[in-house]
Amino acid sequence: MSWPARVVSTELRKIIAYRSDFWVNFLGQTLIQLFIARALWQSIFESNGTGVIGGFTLGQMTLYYLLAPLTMKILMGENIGFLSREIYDGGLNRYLVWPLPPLGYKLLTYLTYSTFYIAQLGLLYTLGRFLLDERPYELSEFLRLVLGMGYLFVAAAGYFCMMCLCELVAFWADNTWTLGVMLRFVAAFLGGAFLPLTFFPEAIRDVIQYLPFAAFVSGPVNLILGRSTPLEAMQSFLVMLVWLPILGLSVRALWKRGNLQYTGVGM
Amino acid sequence: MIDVKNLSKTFKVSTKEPGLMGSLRGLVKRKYITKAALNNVTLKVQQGEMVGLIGANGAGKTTLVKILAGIIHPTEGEVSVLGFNPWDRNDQLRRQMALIMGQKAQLWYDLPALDSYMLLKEIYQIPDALYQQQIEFLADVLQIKDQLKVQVRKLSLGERMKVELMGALLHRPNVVYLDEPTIGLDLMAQKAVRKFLKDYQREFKPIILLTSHYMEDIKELCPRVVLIKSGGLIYDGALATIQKQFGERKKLILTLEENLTALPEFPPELGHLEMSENKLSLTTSRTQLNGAMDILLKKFQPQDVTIQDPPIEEVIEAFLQKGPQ
Repeated sequence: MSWPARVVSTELRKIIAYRSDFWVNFLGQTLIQLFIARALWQSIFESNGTGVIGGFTLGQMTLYYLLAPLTMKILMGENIGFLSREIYDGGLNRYLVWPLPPLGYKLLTYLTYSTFYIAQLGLLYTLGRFLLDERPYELSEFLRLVLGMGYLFVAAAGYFCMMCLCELVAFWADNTWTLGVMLRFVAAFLGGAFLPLTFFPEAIRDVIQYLPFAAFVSGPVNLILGRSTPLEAMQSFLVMLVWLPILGLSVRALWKRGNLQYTGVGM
Repeated sequence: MIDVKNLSKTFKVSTKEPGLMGSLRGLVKRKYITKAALNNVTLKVQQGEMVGLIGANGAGKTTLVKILAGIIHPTEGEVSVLGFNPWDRNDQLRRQMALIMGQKAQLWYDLPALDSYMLLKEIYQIPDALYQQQIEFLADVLQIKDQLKVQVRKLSLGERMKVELMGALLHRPNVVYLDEPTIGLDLMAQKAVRKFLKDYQREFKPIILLTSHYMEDIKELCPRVVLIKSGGLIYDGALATIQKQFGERKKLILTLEENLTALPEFPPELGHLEMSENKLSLTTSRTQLNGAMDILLKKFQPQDVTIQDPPIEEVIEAFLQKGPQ
């Protein structure tokens, strides 16, 4: 087994190391979020007296709010603040003495968690689809789900780079926790996790389409829900593909410079 | 071989006045000071040597280890470890190196040590046969076989240190940096770790650089010591030489039949006399010991007489204060 495969296997073992935490994380959290969203939108639909808001039926809106928090969970990966904390307390030392690229190792552990949550999304969406949407299930829906899951994997890699850019500031500023929180908020807001992007003013949507954020939530979720065609979804995906090398190179440059500042404190 | 030439490292550290006003001022303007952690250090360590790095807190010994392990970059100077520049972070060097930090866990807390070892096996590309051999050898010597399948966080401090040591040595490194390997351990565990390191050194002949505040570690493991003071190397040589130079004071203890009520008359130039119940102790120099003992033995008929060397901690402290002579 190669080291990347062993890293994935080790991380998976960590995910399932604690039984109760696993089930709460896998089901509990999503069910609570879903319950709140359903109750909220049900009252909005009732007070509006209409069956469709912003192009969503209540069932579709509930599915949207099942998927949106799950996509954010995928983006969060293992844990926000992981790298800055290790720079702050010297925990980074162990990765620097191992004969492997430290950021490559970090990306792998992050993507292992993301992949696990992508699988969770696939499973919970399929269940929700049968429970919340009365339309007959079609094969194209399954294909859209698979495409959406692949899309999310690439988006997660993009989010990892953005998160690294915030976290690596810790080489200079020690505590960058707030930066991570800000990124999470901006990504969720501009990605459409709080409110679908169709509710945004057109001028803002015009700007957002050139930024990578739509690929985090709106792009893959609309693809999975069938609210955009694969071709339409391709647009935000391509924007992310253009951003990915830019973000990756920026991370590399920042890592190189940051390493010169590193003091390995706490050792 | 480790070859260090004129190594210096300075850190820029921010400072802040105490109190709320100081904190508020710090929000707008910070003052920085430059701290020299290492100053022109030159050092050579041959394969198979075990060297103790000694110095007070903040003397620079951990900075030296961090530079040698390639964790931080030096400000000036040259370093070669097994022919590599450590901060190039060449995989070939990192596969031959291990860093053990007594205060930092390397293994994953939520997994049994064996799970972490399987990952380390792939990271260090350890062949199957060597991996099995090392697991058996290390688990046997460290007497930790039964604990390898238990989550690391559920192990005692001593057991945790042992599994950490085992993880760091799985790939049979040629260079081992040990930073406080016995910190926080009880006496039995300290002894076991020391014995293990001694056996390991004898068996595989790696370079071992050890920093420890427990002088017992240094005394038992390191025939050669390097003393660092304020970032500079002030002594590099045998521990026995320092002991000879600075351990010239002796302690003579007489155990008497009855408790003493007052100190006997004694020439103060021959040493410092103290009493406690039925014990009379004299601290004197090696050269004056015989004369002082003659005087005391004429006055008392003790049940027991002991002569002690000063503890190694005192010797090192004296050396660090006075410097080489």
